[in-house]
Amino acid sequence: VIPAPAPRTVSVTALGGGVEVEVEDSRLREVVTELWRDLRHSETSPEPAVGHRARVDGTGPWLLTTDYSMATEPANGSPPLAKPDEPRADATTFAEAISLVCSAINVPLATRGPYLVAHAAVVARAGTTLAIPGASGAGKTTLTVALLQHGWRYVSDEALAVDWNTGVLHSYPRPLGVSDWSAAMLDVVGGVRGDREWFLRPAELGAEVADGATGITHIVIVDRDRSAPTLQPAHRMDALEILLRRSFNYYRDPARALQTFGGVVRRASVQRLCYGDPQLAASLLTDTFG
Amino acid sequence: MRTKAAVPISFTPLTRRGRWPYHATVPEYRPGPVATDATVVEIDGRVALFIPATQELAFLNTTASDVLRLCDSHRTLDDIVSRIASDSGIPPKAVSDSVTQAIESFVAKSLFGIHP
Repeated sequence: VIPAPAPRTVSVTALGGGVEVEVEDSRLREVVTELWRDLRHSETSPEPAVGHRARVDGTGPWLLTTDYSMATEPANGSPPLAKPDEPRADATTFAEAISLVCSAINVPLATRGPYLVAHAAVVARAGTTLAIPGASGAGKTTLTVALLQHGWRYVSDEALAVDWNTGVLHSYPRPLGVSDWSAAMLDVVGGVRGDREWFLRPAELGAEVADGATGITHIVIVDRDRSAPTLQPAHRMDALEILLRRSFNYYRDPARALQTFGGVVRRASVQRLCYGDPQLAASLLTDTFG
Repeated sequence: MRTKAAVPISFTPLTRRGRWPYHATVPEYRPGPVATDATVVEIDGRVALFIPATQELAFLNTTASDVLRLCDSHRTLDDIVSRIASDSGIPPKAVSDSVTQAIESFVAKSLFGIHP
């Protein structure tokens, strides 16, 4: 009897889509499979609506080839994250290879699926769900880690994804990508070394993935400064504008995106958080909403 | 001493090029109503729009939202200026430029038809 060959593919299903990455390097494959384990168990959609394939050749250096562009669509003039129509990328270190594969999984799931998606962190706790929209580098993941350390459950550090018609929330608990600065600031230990960041599952922070959060109850607009954290009511329209500006895919149907996110915003309170220290900010949010 | 109050409008001022909607500066012009294919979302007094003709999303501040609401094709530009001035407690001369600019922007973005 010839044993069946071990699968060489990392398969991730989330947000109504699926990605299969064929990885030649067995160690890289095992690490990535473990990192994305939460998503494979949290998907609630019956069948993926779209499928994407990628391949990583080599055991160092590594070459990624995809059947999709690694660029996300620019939102309102923002530059794309990669050159359009560039399906190949390479890595020379294992850490870079980890980041490369995580991006190859994340980009199509977060940007090409059937849901309306905005760049935002989402956490939940006892019937309360916070959305924190913002651009890359705005501090979403750092604040998410701090909130998870305060007992919140993880929905996503990347995507506020809602049904285009109903506005119902869908979770996307991808592995958190924590910067070195954030890891040091928040005493985060462990995780997998990526390119200038650590990847870790929420369980490594002692946190759970939130299942069953269906609607956003509060939207928090963040402004970074060096002062003690403050939380002030903000206009709902400000939140609507940020969600649309930070949306990966509103351009597919701008009128419906406006109406759908408008409905999300109407059902939520909107607050503006100014903070310097993420731990103090997480304490304030927990005391206020938790 | 009377100071000229600023009435902020969220639209970027337009340059005078191409087919400029001079109608908007005529006091008797009755702007509006909003094109039927535009998507309008109003939340807590402020308006956001998707304008198919220009494929633009626009987010209006409170004053611009008030101006848009008054553009019903029945009120003249002077009526709208008077109403905004009376609601805000600011002299009509001080709000006139901002109201006109807002309406010019609405017209330029094809939010209204042109009805001389």
